[in-house]
Amino acid sequence: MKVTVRWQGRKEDKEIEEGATILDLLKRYGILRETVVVFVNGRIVPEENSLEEGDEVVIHPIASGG
Amino acid sequence: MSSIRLPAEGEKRCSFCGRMAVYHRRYTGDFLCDRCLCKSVEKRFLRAIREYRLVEPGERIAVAVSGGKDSVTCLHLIKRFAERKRCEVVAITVDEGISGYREAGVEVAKENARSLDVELFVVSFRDSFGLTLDEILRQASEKGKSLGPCTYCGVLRRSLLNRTAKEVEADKLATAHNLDDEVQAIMLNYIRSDIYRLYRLGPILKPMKGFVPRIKPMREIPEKEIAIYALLKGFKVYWGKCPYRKGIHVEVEDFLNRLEENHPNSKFMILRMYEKIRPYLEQAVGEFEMKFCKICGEPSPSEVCKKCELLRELQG
Repeated sequence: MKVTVRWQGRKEDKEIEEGATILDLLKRYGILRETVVVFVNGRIVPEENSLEEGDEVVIHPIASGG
Repeated sequence: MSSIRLPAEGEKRCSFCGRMAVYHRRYTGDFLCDRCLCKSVEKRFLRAIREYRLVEPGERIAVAVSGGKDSVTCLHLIKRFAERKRCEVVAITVDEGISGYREAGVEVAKENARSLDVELFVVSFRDSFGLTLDEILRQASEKGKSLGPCTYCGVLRRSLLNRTAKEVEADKLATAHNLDDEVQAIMLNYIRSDIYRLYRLGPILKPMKGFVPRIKPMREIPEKEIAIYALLKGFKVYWGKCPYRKGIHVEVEDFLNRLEENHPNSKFMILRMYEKIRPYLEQAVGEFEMKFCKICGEPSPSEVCKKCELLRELQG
C-alpha cells in the first residue's frame, strides 16, 4: 500500500507493507523516534500505530537548539 | 485538544482514559492521549518547583527565552504558575548574532512575551561584547582556535544571562533545560572530567555572590514530551535548527537517543545516578572559593572569567 510522507521539506509517496507501523517507516528512513514527532492525517500519533492506504505522514524533527 | 473520536483498529489508546493516544511513554510503558500528556507535563513541572523549592512566593523570575519549543513552553508554564503565587515574570532573550537563524527566534520570543503580557529584555552579543557569534567564530577560525562554536556561545550566553538577570533585579533565572539537555550535560562533563561543572548541573544552584540562582523546572521532562506539549497547545515556536549545531554535543545526543531507543528509561537512570553522586560532588567542590573576574567583575572560579579569557584570546 502507498502512503505520503513529508520529511525534510520533501514530499514523496512510499510503498509500504500492509499493516506496517510508523516505527517501520521511521526505520526505513533511519530516524530515531526520540528525535521526531509524527503526524498522521494532521494528528500526533504514537509510533506503534499502524498505517493505512493513503495516509499522510508528516515527520516533524524536534531538535532546535544550539 | 477536544476531540472525542475513539481509536480505530491499529490506533493505540490512552492507558489512563481510553482516548486516542498521541504518545508512547516507553519508560513507564504507558500510552498517553493529548489531555493526559499535557497533565503529565504540567504535573512534572510543578513537582520540580515544589520538590526543589525552585520558586518562593512573591519572587521576580526571569525566564531565558530563545523562541524554541523548550523556552516558549517554560515561559507559558511559569507565567501560569506565577499568577497563583504572586510572582512576577520577565523574559530575557539573548541575540547571539547567528545570521539567518537567530532573527526569527527573537521575533517568536517577542510574540510569546507580548501574548502573555510579559516584559521582555533583548540583549545581544554585539552590544555586550562588541562582536556577534558569527564574527567571533570567524576570528577564532582565522586564529586557528580549536574550541567548538557551542563553547563560545554557551560561555558568553550564560554570562550575559546572569548579568542581565541582575540588571533586571530578578530573584531567579529560569532556563528551559529538559531531561535530554541535562543528561547530555552530565555525559559531556564526564567526558571532559570537569567535576566543578558536573556539580553545577543540579535543579537549582545554592545562592552565590554575584550569581542570580539558576533554576531548571523542566529538567525531568523529556524533550519529546515538551515538543508534543508545545504542538498540542499551539504555541508559537521557532523550529529552526542552529547552523553551528555539530561536534561532540551532537555525537553525545545521538548516542543517548540510540541508547534510549534500545533501552528505554536510560536517560532517567543517568539523571538518577547523577543525583545519587551529587552530595559527594558537593563535598569535593565544597571548599571552592568564588572570585570576581578582574576584567569584568563578574563572578568566576579564576582570576579572569572564562568569557573574558575567550574574548582576550581572540584579541591577542
